[in-house]
Amino acid sequence: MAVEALNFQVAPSNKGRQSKRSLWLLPPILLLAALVVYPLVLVATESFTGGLATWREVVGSTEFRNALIRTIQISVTSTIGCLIVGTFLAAVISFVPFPGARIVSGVVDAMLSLPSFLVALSFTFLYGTAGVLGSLAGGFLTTPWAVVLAEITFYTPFVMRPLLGAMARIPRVQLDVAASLGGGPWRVLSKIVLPEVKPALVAGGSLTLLLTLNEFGIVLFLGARDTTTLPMLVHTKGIVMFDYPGACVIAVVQILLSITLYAVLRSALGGRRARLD
Amino acid sequence: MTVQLEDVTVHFGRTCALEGLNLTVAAGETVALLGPSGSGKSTALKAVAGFVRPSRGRIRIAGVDVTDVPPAKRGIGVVVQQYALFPHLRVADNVAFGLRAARRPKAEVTRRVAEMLDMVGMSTYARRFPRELSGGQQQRVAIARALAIRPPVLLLDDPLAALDAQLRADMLDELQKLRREVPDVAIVYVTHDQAEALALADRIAVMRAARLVDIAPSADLYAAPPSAFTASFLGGANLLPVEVSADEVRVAGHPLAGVRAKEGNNLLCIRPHAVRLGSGGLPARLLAAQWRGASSRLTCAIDGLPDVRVHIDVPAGGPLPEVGAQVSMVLPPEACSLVPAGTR
Repeated sequence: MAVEALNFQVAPSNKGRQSKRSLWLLPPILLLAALVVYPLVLVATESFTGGLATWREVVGSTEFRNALIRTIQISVTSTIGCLIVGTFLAAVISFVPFPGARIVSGVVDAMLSLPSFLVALSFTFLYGTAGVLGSLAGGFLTTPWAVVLAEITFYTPFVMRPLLGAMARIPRVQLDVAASLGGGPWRVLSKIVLPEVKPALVAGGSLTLLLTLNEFGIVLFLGARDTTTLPMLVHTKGIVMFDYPGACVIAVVQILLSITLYAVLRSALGGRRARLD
Repeated sequence: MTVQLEDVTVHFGRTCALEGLNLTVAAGETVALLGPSGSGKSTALKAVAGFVRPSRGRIRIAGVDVTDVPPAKRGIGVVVQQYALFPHLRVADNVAFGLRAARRPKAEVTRRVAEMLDMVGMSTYARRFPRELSGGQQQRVAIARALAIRPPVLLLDDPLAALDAQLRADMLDELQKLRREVPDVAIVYVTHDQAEALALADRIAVMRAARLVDIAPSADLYAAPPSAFTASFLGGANLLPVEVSADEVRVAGHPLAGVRAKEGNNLLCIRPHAVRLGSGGLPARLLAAQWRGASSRLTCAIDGLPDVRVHIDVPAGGPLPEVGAQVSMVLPPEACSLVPAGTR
């Protein structure tokens, strides 16, 4: 009797523990579904309310194609700019001893916490028609280059942060020896430092590429004429023109673009995702 | 003179890491900078390499003042304790780095790299990455890399410190061979290990607390150390307080025949292996005995000098007195020298 009772108790308790464990998974999954997946599904279904016709119409429009090309142009140009400026600044902060290097690196961290539209706002003060450099810049704000410059300004710290960490890990004596072998600063940077911080460079660059692809605040605030990007188009169609299905089509494209890029970068980075600091 | 240091002083912030060093190293000469950590020996080497800037003094290489010349323009070979190989470059590319920086023709680079790797016995490892090599192998590559650019001066900063004992002995052999391969190169060898200094150096510069204490040919420095610090740091000599009168030297009241008195020098210096146990010597008590394989190290206290420990190395195999027993300690006069006290 006792054994039977024990048996009866033992078997289900094992099962019970397993089901209990999967019970723990339930709340986060439900939360994710409710907060993230469900709205996305809504967006996706909304894009199909008019059948494939809406898709054909939106994707076939020059408006969409121009925005897609513009988005990629701006984000690739900004990312390259960020990589160049970020590498230069990180190298100077890491290897050129100057008073205040720590403060500069602290400012870099602080920049990461600021909202991106602040940069755009400050740009209107600098380059706007009534701005400090307004007369000099002469309509600069209305070109896509203003967006690129603002994005470089804002996203460079995202490249610098992982780079500063990686550069700090290079032993100084290695650079000393490289110098003694006749390597000038440029050669040491290109042949020793950059190859050694490549993972950080890839991580920072891909993060910037993703973020600039989806950047909205800077583009909206600068409101440049020729600068309609995909997020801007979603905004215009959905909020301004009440073409909700059309906006959803573009939103789905935007999501696919981001996820594809993310997947490519994940596989390119291999197991080094941890270095995304 | 290939390397010339004139009153070289280095400050890091407020601390003085090197104080007024004067040193010359001739072509083909090996000078060891020997001292405990913090003695300024590595700082001196870094100043010659150009990694630190002296706050005072001049450095000349082959007669040219290089004090304000950046390291890349000095053409000096440097090997450091941590090897500092470039981790993303293969062995051959590590060795080629300096040659490529000097824009040597491709054929010459290939030939020179092969020659260098052959010299350090690493030819079969040319395609490996540094992480695939042992410590000793990495250090050989580092040496090949430094010598590839045919530097007139080679600086070695404690190159064997990171290796284990057996490997250290092997590498010491290698370094001696290497010395013969590059007969014209001036070598500055920084070490805290007196055995390395004695094995490799023509002259030894003993350093302590940011200053040069003594410099002399290795044999002279060992046989007749000019200071108490050098006597004990180089070869771990026994230092016994003596009373010096006009023509006599006494230890604990016993006169030592054959030892000549020197004015102001009142420490007797004698190496542990030179002291013998035998009859007619100083009465002493054996405090401890350590068997070290080929020899045994005895620690004794001379009667009347209870605070001074005297070390004696006796060949293994012979009978040893019991610990605590009374012994008689013979100090052969030819192995004794007098050094001034106070600078210990």
